[in-house]
Amino acid sequence: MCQIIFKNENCVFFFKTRKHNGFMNYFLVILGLIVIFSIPSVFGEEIPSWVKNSAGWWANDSITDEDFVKGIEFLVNEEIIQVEKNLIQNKTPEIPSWVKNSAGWWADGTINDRDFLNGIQYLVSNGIVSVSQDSSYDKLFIGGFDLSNAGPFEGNSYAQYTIIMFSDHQCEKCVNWLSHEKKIIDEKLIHSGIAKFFLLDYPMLGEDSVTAAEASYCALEQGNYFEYLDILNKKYAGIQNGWASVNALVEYSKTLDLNFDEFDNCLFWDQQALRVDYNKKVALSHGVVGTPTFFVIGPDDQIEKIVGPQPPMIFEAVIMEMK
Amino acid sequence: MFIVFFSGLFLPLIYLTEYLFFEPYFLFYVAEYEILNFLSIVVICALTGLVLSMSIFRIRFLQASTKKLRSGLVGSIIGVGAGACCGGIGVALISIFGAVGGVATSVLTNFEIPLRVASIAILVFTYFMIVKDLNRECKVKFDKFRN
Repeated sequence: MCQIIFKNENCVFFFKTRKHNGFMNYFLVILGLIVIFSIPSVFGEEIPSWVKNSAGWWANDSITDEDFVKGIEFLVNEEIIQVEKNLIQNKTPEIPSWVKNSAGWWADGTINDRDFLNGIQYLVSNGIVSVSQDSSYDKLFIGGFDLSNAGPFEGNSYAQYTIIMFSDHQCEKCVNWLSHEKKIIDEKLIHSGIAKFFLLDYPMLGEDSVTAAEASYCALEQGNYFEYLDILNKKYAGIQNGWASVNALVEYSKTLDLNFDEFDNCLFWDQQALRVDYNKKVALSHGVVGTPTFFVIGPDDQIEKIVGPQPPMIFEAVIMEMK
Repeated sequence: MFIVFFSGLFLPLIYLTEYLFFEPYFLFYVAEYEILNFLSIVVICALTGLVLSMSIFRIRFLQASTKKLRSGLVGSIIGVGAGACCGGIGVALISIFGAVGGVATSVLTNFEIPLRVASIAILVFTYFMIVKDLNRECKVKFDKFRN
């Protein structure tokens, strides 16, 4: 049960009474955090100093594990504390004692912020602190297209126009388009801030297409999405002839700075299968039949469909017409 | 008749192989890296037009067999099918045939160049055989007429 929240004399008096039940204590913890959250000086990349106080109380068993964790969850979700949110590995039910010791040492000033954050990161990674989805995986709808499971986009987020490409990694025309025409579009539309570019999967040429798409997202987990796509384009060799088999895809990962075991597990256990399937459903729901198929979406959600590997001037013309 | 056969095959084929587009604008576009593919399509269509028109002439006017017409058609179909992947119509056709279509797509795409070369070879061979037969048959008929 939460007994003491703040060491401020007035607040101590207010919270010290045992008439408050557990729910009320938890509510007051969060309320206090919200009040402090509203103070602008709290924002910033540094850990706010009052968090240190909370850490110290927790290390001294003045507040329970549960209350401390709930407080940390709030701080992480509101990005008051910055940690990697999407690396949940193993679910561990208990908080190791070293994390509590770290909190105490940090409160005393014995260790620095980074060392304390490593402990928080451990709690997040092991599911002890539940965090909301990373903002990049929040629902992202543009022009009626659900892009929440797409890979990262290329270009500026403030670009008014969006180009969505549905592609199959075993589609020769897609690969050729990405290797040639896309470079001109990069120069004229994407790097100039006019449009941003999303690549979504529409695997229709066999199992290897699905596997290749999954592999790209496994590489995305380790921050090598675009590099891995480049490798896939360079290694293209046909349809269902082994160049995009699981073994080959794992071999390609060795040329990048990837954690091989993590990548291998991700691919072997089909961890990204649902994501690929989701993108395929998005394609089907918008009448995509073949690849490559493009959609250009304007700032007022005007949509123009471009079917086939068409030249960059068509995309420019479509955007001009939308303006 | 040659023009009819040539255009009747050429236009659908360049649409199927995504050199001709109708949306969002009417466009004919051949990328630099696709020039050889496009030229092979032109050659196949031209040879098919020649072979078909000459075969039909033989069948209609010389009462010849349809064997060479059939071999010409085989050559055309192989040439047409090679590399016709991934556009909307191609996919629709694949889905009709299911797994067989899937296997056919992978074969036709993976062996696109050899298939096109084989197709051209079949059509050229068929063309020369038809020319040889036409020379012989026309000479026989002419001699008969003269006599």
